[in-house]
Amino acid sequence: MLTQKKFIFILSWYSAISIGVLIAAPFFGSENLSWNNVSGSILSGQTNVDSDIFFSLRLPRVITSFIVGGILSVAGSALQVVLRNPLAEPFILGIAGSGAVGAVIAISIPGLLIHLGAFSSVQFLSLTGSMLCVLIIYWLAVNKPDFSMTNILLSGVTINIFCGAMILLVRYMADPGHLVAMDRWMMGGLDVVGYGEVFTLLPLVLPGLILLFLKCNTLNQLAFGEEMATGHGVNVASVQRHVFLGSGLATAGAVSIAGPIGFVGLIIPHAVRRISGVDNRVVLPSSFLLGGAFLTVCDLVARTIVAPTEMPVGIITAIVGGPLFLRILLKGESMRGE
Amino acid sequence: MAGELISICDVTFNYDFNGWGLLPCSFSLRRGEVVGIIGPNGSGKSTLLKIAAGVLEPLNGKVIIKGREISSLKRRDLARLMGYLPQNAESHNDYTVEEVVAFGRFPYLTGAGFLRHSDLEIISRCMEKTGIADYGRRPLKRLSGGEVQRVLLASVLAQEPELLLLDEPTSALDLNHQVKFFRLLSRLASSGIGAAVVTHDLNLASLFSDRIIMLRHGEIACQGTPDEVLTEYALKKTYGEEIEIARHPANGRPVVFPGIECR
Repeated sequence: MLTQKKFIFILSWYSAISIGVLIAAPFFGSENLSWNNVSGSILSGQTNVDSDIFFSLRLPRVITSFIVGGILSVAGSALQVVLRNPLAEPFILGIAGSGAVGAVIAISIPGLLIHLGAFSSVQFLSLTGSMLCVLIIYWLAVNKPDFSMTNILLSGVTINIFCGAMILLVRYMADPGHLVAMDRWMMGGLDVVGYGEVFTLLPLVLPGLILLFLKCNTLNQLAFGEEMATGHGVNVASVQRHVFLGSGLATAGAVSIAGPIGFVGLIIPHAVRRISGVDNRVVLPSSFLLGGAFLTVCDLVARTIVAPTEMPVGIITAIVGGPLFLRILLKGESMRGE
Repeated sequence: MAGELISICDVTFNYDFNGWGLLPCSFSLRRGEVVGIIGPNGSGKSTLLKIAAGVLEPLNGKVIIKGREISSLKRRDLARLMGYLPQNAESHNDYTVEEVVAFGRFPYLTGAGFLRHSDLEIISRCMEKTGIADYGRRPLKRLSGGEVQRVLLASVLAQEPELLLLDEPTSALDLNHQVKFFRLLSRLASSGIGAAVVTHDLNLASLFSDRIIMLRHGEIACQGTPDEVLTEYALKKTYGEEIEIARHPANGRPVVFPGIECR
């Protein structure tokens, strides 16, 4: 059983991994940076080329990738519990699809001047699209109390299919010169500059994450279904609404910055469960830390493997994530066999 | 009324997807009483129990728990009074036996929900009562159906309820474990807990229940002692089969078996 001591021990391990990745990742890229130059700049207060690259380009990107990876993983772990579906991930409710519709519309209209803080028009319209989807799903959860989780899931699938059709329509009508930009966006990318996008993202993402973390222990009660949870004193409908809203808000923010980066929200929760058990008080925060570290490392690979150009990070997460997920599943089966 | 833990007063219900409905039903349960709820498939047994447990909201009527309407009680407060075990509860996750029993302490926990020393003692007592004290760290998936049912009952008992509502708790059990389960219920009733149990096993209901409620076509056909309810006429009308009644040699309670021609 999870004790306070065990909880702190487990989270310390994941935190150590995350801190290690956060410190090391900015030093690597198309040009590796010197530890001496960067640390010297911090100590002396005088900038140099390496420290400029570190603080202005690499560190914001690393922080953004960590936050995005963490969000997708936490949202995935919570949705897998609430929807009682091990294949659930943050985009299953249609959030990425809706965000993509907003993004491709913005890309197809050159000179569009809608901004939100540091968010460009593409990011802003992507956020708008995602939030519309979040509102639809939340409305269903509030106003259709008899809607089962299966129906919510199918609604998300329907939204995804509809958004897919809308994207095809926009692409068909768009200038061919914009198609590459649309494809590039949909592969996912973390090429941010400066800290503006992170700060713009936080007011949206933080409430979402807080809503999810507050429900960690309650999510355990859903293990034996909604009726058993009700019998134990859980307001199941309220928990479901919290999770949809929290994961929706956080994922909408993540998609608007980074596009739809697949696999992270699916495999990280399962990896955490295999390593550290199924108690959601451990799974959710550990998923945030491991997911953040995982995406940061994937982004590191994306920006170094074909240097000086970059590969979209979504390709890396898919190439790494697929076989990794299979390995996790097979290892789990063989352990059960023993 | 004094000693009544729960009163169901003229509750009705309708399922939108097939139009099936529960007609006005009323019953009550007192401390130390075991009530068996029987009836054919689709007669409304589980629906009635879910309404009593607050899982379903009735269209009409009231559910009164210890003098208070169920709708006025917060979920956690209700869970401290009443333990509900639904039919076919199962999990696909690798929780251990201890962890599942500990779920029953949820109504008493705050914050991150870490267990206190007092919670651990209660969990240990509940595991002893249900005969699973040695199973603590075993994954639930490695237990048999009967053992899992005892774990789930222990989880419900960990809520320290005054009232138990159990929906077919012995459906997956062999005869030996079914009898043990009902004997446990009798011991719990002796300590003051009231229990309502949905069961298809008419004989176990007869042997272990103080009262029986028989449902038919969405309404309570009759309720009373086993002698009053388990009559050939009532059983034939409800189940539509020829039924014969004998008497248990130990306590004289009615024992039911189908009246078919011998080969």
